[in-house]
Amino acid sequence: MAASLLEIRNLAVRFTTGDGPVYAVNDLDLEVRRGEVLGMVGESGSGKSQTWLAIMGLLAKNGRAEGSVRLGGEEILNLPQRALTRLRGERMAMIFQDPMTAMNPFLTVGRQMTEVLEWHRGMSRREARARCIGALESVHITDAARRLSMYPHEFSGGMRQRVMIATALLTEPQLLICDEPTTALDVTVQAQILALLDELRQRFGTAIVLVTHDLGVIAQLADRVIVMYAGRQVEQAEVHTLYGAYRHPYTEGLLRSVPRLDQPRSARLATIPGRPPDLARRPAGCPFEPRCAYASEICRRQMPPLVSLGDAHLRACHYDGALGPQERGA
Amino acid sequence: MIRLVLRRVLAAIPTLLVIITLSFFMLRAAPGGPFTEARRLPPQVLANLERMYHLNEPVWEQYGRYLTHILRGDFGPSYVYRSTTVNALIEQGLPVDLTIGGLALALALLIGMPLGILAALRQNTAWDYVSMAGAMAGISVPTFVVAPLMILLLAVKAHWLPAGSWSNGAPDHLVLPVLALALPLIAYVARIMRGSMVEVLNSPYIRTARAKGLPERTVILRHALKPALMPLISFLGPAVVNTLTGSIVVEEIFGLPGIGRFFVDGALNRDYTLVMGVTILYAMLIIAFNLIADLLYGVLDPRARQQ
Repeated sequence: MAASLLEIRNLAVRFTTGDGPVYAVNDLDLEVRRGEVLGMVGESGSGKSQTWLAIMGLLAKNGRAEGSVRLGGEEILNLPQRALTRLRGERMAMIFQDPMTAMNPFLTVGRQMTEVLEWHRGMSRREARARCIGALESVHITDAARRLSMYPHEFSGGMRQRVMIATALLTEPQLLICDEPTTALDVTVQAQILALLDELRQRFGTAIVLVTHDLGVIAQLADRVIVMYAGRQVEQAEVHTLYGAYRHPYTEGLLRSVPRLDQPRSARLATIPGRPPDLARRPAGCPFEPRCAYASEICRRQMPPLVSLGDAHLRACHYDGALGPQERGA
Repeated sequence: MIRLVLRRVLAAIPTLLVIITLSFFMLRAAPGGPFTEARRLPPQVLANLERMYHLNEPVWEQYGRYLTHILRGDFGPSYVYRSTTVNALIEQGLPVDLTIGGLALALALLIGMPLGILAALRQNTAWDYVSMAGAMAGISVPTFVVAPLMILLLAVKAHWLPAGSWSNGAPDHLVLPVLALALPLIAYVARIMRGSMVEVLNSPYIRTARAKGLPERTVILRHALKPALMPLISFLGPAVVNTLTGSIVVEEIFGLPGIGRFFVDGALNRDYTLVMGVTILYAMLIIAFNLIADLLYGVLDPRARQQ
């Protein structure tokens, strides 16, 4: 087993709002290993993005993170601004969902790339520019020298996301966090970006965290998967285990609600009944209980702990019986 | 760029024509005339005056005559300030307005912009609340309240500064009118700057800049400042004209010989040519500064440049 790169212990993220606190992430324990791709799935509001924003020190002003996050053994949660400038973009980088808005429309693509090397590596603009041309070529952008003097709006969405990736990898960080990297892109471009990420991680050995609500994206790229619900980890497994032998009712619901081409057109898409819980309330029992077909009395009263099922498979659920018809691996 | 300017200048011609026509006929439609004063003129004198200024001709003829004069840049004689022309009055008054207005604008930008930016960076702190409350007061309290108060306190009671008059633009005479004109403008600039800065700082590309590890100083100066200036520019286009010309109240209170006074006098006395001249001047300034604002947009925003 590869060595651990990032260790998260007891992470909690809370937002102070006018209507009281909102608990976005609770009791999160996980690790990212060197060079692996860790997928994190969940629906909107499951805390998957906030987890990584907290680790990057990018929470909104009303957000607070507690617990411990160690990168290479060194505590990095809630570092002061100065220390963050040496950590972000240097040892860990992050790219975001919408490459249309994630780049500054007022600055050239080149400026937004070279500034990273100028700041972290103390390079001159000239040296940095030369390096950036190489970086753009490595994400398969042709005519890179000319494109550096262009503005983001002159790029397509897929190209912008390539630029974001190239920029993030300029400093060869140990960890690349991708928050919904393909959600805003159309399907063919999505496949290209995923292939690119796979290629780059093999080349640089960068560990990648892939945050998404799209199980198809996870299946293509991830080694391990964590399923989040209501700010909690409900299941964690190797990707093949999860798709073949999931053990949490919520995971089952997620997998069933993926549209499939091999089903007749008339088949209704399965959905998970109910709606995600209000994160301002903290129920005593399992947060998924109101929507769960397998729920029993204990689920209402007691929060199920995250328990190992062996074989690196963990889940948080009281139900012991068999789940519904198991899907084939996607 | 040149094509844009050319197109806009051409588009300004019909706009100006509409403004000229509307104000020409509205003025004629107003009751009374330039020579119907409290002191009745003998009919013969009145007839002579009207003939001299062509007011006895049919209104369409007068309109045509006026247009041909304007094309030559001649706004005609003033009816009220006799023996002088509207052009001469404007030449006399405009420098006063430009001086006061220009200084007030510079002051507003110099104080208002940093004030707004700091308020945005220290959002929801005492600094933010105090400066924004001050700005709200600056916007809400009208000039005709602030200006007399300033005269009362700083001129009449403290004797620090002169209470009014132009004195050929002597610096100490400028202080109070410039301050009076700048105060609400500072407030507007600060509020707009704060609002746009707060919005920009919450935008995804600022998050990206921070995720890259850039120090906060670079994030603000390089990534946030330029986009945050855009709403200010949209505001300044028309606001510059208002400041350069809309100092009527300030001119009255401080007894300054600017255009605003001529405009008010002209309107009250049905000085057709004077009112028309000032109206056309204002219209041209508004068109010009809106164009300048649009050009500045293009200079700052690469997306706007393309069109």
